[in-house]
Amino acid sequence: MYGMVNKAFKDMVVMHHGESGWEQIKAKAGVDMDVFMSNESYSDDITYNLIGAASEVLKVPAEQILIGFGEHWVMHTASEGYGGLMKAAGKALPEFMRNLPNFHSRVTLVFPKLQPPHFRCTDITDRSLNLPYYSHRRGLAPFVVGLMQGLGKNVKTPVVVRQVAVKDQGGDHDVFGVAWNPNPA
Amino acid sequence: MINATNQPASQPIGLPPEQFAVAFPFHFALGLDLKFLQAGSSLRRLCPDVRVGVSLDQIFNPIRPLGEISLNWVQDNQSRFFLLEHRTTKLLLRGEFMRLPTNDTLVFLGSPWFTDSSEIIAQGLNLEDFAIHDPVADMLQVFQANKMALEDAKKLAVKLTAQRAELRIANERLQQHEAETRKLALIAERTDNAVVLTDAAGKVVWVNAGFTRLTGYTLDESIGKKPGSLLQGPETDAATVQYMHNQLSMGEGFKVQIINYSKAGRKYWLSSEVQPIRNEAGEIINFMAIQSDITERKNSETLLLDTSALQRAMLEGAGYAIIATNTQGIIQLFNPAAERMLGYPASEMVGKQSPGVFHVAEEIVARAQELTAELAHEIKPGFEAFVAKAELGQPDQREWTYVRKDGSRFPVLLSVTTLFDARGKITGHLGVASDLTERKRDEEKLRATLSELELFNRVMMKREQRVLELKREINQMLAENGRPPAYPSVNETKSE
Repeated sequence: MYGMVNKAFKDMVVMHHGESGWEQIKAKAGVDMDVFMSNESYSDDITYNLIGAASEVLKVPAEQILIGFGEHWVMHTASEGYGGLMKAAGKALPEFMRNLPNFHSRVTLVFPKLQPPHFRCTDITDRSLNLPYYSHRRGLAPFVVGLMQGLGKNVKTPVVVRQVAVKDQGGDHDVFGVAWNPNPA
Repeated sequence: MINATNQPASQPIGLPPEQFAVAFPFHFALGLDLKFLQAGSSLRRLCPDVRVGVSLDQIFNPIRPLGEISLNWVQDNQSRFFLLEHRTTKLLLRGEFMRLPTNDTLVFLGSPWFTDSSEIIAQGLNLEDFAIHDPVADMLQVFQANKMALEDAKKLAVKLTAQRAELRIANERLQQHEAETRKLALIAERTDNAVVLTDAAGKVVWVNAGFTRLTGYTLDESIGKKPGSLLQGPETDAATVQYMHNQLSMGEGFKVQIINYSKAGRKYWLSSEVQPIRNEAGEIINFMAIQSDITERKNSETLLLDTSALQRAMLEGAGYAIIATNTQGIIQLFNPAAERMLGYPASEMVGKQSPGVFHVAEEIVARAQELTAELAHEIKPGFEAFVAKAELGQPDQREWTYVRKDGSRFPVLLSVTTLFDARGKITGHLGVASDLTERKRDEEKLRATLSELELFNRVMMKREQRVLELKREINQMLAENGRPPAYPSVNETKSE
């Protein structure tokens, strides 16, 4: 994964548990890097080890950590790094979601080593959509849930996300159902 | 079949107007009079002043190619890169002009140029206003990625600069530390003391030359061994060894004196100070022992103990009061005879009082006056009066009256000696006093006997004279009667 993922994970840990928390997790994960370069590709193992170590050190299930990381990714990493582009991608959730697959496809031009997930938006209504999600990586479904929740919070439209199809149970992809209130108070 | 470059398709292809508008949302078309004929939907939103019939130069400034907006400027620069600036918003449009061959129309194909994605929102657009094929959105991502990389690099540079400063300071500290360590190592190596460094288990990791000189064991012979196993022997005190063992196992330092044996079997007294050395985590990593041979000191201490015993016996057994003072006159020693004589326990005198307390004030005053006259400088009536003479280097012996604690008085013969150290400096005074009471009493008795004898003598002499007178009277009475004297000798001595 690109360094920005690990960097974002570090930022999230430091934000909630300070530098000492991060150092503990890093030591537990056997990761000996002070700085992650955003645009450099790193082994996926580093990210998985960091998440595993965080789960052990913070005594929080890995799923919870991934959901939190998904929200952090949207609300801090992407908003701070790619805020302009995110805003340009649409103000309302359905509009934004329509643009998101294109956005991910274009990213591969900029980051040639990136193996981003591939997804589509189907069954779009004014209150829900389905997100068929294709990734060669394992175990990241909770991260997607967190991402969607973060996107909802970002546009002030709280969403409910549930996984309606699971890749490990026969299919070649996961499907997430995303629902929201079309007229938030 | 694909045609060669720049060759038109064999079948003319054209886009229906609706699709053309989707494919080129920022296009506009001009007549040869350079007035707008039509414009794409995104451009119209971006530049609402682009309306049919308005002239190009009213709306845009030419940036590239250089020149004034005119038909020639457009036509002469066909297949060149055009950059137009929207007069009111300063927005840049990049693209190219094409002249359609079928009618007198100039078409501009292009899109706005942004260097930061925030400008899209600022211009009231979003990504859907761009054609999918338009690379502007991709360029924005490239810019963004570059910006982030640059930020990473900047952060890294700041971090590196800070780290370099830290390293420089750490390096300086290290150098100081190393210099200190070298100095200490040199001291440890060269000192006359034996220095032993062991690991946490007490096994030797290093010894200095002093150790080898003292024990005869070299570094190689000592490494890995416990010092005790090399050095202890028959007369080594087992209790001290046990104490050392206990202290070491508790990780505590200690200081002992113990008999050790050299490699050659020489017995010697060793003074050893052992301290644990801890790492930053507080764990013991070494023990260091600094040792010295104190055999000579031990021997002279034994001698000193003997001398002291002799002195003590003399002081305690003496019939004289022996009283020593320091230079200020404060009593330092008050022997049992002094206690008996004066009725003060030593504990009330030593370190507290001056001999003045058991002297008669008038005698001190008188002695001071006497000495002042004799020595031709003022001697104050105080402690000086006892020692002024003795300080000249000769014992000063004279009679004084001592006053007991109960107030009673008795005469003493006091001899004062001044104590000098090896360099001739006065260190104190020593007084030895003998009680003259007995002697005085004897003298008194003798004097009384003599006077009694004298009296007796006188009485006896008177009686003898009377006898003589009687004898003479008898002789005279006999002579008057014509009779010879009864005591003829008496008459011969008459003249006496």
